[in-house]
Amino acid sequence: MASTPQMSGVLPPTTKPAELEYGGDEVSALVLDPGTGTTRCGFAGEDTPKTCVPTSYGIVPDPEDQKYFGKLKIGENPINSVVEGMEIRNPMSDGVVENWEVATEIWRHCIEYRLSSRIEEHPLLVTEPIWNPLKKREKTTEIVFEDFNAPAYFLVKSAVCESFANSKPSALVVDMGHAYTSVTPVIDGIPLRKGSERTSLAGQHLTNQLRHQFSELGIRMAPWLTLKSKTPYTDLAAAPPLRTKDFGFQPHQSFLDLQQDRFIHEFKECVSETWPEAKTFPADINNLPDNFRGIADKAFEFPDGYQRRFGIDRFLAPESLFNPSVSPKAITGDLPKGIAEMIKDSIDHLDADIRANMLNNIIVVGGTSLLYRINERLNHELMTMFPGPRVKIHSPGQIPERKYSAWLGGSILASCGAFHQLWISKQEYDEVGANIIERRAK
Amino acid sequence: MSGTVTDVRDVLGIDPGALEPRQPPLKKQRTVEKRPDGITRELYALLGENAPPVAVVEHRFKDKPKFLGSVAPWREQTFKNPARKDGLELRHWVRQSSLQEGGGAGGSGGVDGEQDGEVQQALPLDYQFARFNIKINVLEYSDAEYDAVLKDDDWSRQETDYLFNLIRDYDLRWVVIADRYEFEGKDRTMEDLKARYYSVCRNVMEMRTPVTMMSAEEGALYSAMHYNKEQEVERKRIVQMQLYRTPAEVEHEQHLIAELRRIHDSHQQLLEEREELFNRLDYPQSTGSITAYQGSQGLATLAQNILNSDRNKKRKSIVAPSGQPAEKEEPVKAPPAAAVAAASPAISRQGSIAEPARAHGHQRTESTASASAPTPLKDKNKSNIKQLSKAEETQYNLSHHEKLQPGVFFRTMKMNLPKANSFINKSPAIMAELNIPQILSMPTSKTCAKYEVLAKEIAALMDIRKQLEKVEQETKIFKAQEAMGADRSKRSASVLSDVSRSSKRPKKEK
Repeated sequence: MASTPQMSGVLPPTTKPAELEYGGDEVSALVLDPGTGTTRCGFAGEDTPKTCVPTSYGIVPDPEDQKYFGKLKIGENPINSVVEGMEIRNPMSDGVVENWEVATEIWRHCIEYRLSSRIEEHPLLVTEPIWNPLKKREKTTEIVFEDFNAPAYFLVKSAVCESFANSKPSALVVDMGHAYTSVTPVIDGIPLRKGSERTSLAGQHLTNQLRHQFSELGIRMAPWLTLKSKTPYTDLAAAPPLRTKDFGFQPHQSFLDLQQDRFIHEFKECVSETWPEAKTFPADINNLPDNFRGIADKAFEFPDGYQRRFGIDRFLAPESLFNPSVSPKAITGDLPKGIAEMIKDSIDHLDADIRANMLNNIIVVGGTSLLYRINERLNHELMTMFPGPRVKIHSPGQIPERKYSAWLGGSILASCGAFHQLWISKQEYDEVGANIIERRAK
Repeated sequence: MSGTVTDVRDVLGIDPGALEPRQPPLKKQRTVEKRPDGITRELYALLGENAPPVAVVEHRFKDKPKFLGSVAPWREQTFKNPARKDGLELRHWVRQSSLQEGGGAGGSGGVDGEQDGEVQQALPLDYQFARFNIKINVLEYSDAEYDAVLKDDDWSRQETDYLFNLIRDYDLRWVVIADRYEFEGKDRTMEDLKARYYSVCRNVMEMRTPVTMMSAEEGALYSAMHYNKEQEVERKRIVQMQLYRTPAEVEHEQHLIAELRRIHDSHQQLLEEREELFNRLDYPQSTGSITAYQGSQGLATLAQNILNSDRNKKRKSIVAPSGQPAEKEEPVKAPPAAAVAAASPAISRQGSIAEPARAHGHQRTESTASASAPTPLKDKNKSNIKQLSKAEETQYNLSHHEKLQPGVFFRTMKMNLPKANSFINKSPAIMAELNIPQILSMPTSKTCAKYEVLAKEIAALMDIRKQLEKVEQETKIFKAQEAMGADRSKRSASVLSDVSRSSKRPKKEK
């Protein structure tokens, strides 16, 4: 990432970079990138967020608490520790904040506890998805100025940040996150509403598919945390008895699900793979055609010690991102569009003049885009759909850059000298009210 | 030894002094070796000239890096952005030295807070990023102007205002404007919006300054504002078609492009080859008469001339190596080529020229002969080789002559053609009409004889026709005279009978 000010490391620390070559002006802003999976937060001008907190929180019921009727547990460690009665919830729904009280607590936790910063001293840049409704944007503005008392604030669409993070003012941003995969065309830093699409075929979908796939196989999905020890075995029929820890109480099911997600996440990282070609995935994986070329198996050990080699079935869940009809767990309701079709739809909505440019500048970011060979597949799908124009997929090679692209773009933006005239100041908020966000950040 | 070295240098032209200075550095290097600090002199002497086998490393901290100049202090201070209307103050770190240069006033120390107050007033003027606050100028119209020229059945005033506000907000980024355009009950395409905007601009401009009064700049802007919506829609349709081509179309196109590239690449080579061909075809054009070359002496001179001109040409043109032997042969063939070409340029070379020259041993006609060689051949034929029958003689095209003309010449040249001017002038057209090439492509003795007969007949016919025309002309004159005077009728009648007699003859011959 040459575009972040911090990375221009060729200059000795004693020399000041040329003003316009650098273009940055640090005002010690904070950047907050709330997502469904994690909330990223850090100082503008850095290349990775300082802290990445799970957005899920735990709540331990406490009838005496008037606000939440329970004790909030926020952060990686508290939500992964076994507490009697602790329920895991998520303040986000549909990719945007639903539970404002808790979200505010989480943001405050990120800034004050994790960054040890006084929130009222720093301008704050917050990202939002393109489909964030006006009411929620106003609510965010209110929280930032009323609760946090920030001196200045701005709300940026995450797709814009992602295109900036990849040093492109105009691009078709494909963000494959935890809850949603979105496609957003960005022109000169302005996202287009009519060409943007989203689908729930993303990380969470994969996790659910894999969970279903494992339970179909009859695998005991006891999470690490509940097991005393494991005995390696390969035959499911002759499985040794589970040796679980005795907590003296039964942890909440949502807590157990969260713990299951952790090893499923590991499975996604290590074993899952995307079928690299469009339309050639075998229709019935139990009945492969004779001319089918072999697939290298990959081994995985589940927390209870069960070891299994995964062949073609490890392609199944990622395949459902492109072809939802093959999902191991049938999708209820209308079948969503595959990711490639979604990109095509998005392109079809655009003006004919910019389509070729968009196809040439497709940015693929987000944690789920780290699935092995997913870009290869996407490229193949798009090449098949558009044989004429040049299709080029840009994806940062560094894992953190891909996972935290939205945050990184926000970091670049907030440390950019020309951006400082865009901040919405407390004074402006006091004069106009929460509606100022609609006027200033369109 | 050294003597030989200098000799060699002399021969090679190397300045003897140039290499001298090499030696002193070698001597110096020897003396430079210095005893390392950690070793005693005696021990070092034992080591001799060899470097110590173990590196002597001193355990010491690195020297403090030497910085140029003193460290410039940085100071956190507030600043205002003049591009903002509110007085938002943000804080950033500024290098002390530049602060002094820029602010001027804030030099005399003190606490940060005090200094900030002073600097604030100086800095906002030159906040470097404020200059990026650029707004484009979008035309504005007054109510009167709107009522005068901008009224449109399809576009209300509110909608036009809305459009212009969007244009101002998004700096004429039409893609974004079309994306954000949401006016109640109206579904506008980007072309609709552009057409309205440009027509508004043009109308207002025209109203403010008539087209004839506009300055060059305004005129250029005015004509640039012309927007053809239909054309634009059609263009986009084509762009879209181009974007959604089928794989087969793409493949076909790629094939065509590759073909084009191939043609383009070989174009240069093609041109060179063509030029080479032209050079080969390019023979000396002769305008003078060929009589000078008809004797063997003349032919020899001509051959020499052509040889010379060919040599000059060959130096210029690029000749393929395989072509060279052929070129060497050419001078032999060239003279007849040139001679015939002098008579008529439209000729195929190989047929009529090379053949008589090569095959002279077989062909003896009344007109073609070589002076000395055929005679012994003929003698030998008579003595050693069997006598040929009449049929064989015709088969091999053998002929016998009483008297042979010396020198080499063409049979066609010796043809006995009518010498009349009228024939020479008109024969090409007549020959062309009869589909007979003017230069015989295969001038065997038989063909030549036939050609002669034909030429004679043509000449005779032409003569007769000329006579006929003459008589007819006369008849006309006499008839005219007859009409004028009846007393001359007797004389004209006798002439008429003459004409009828002469005009019957050509008909019979045909």
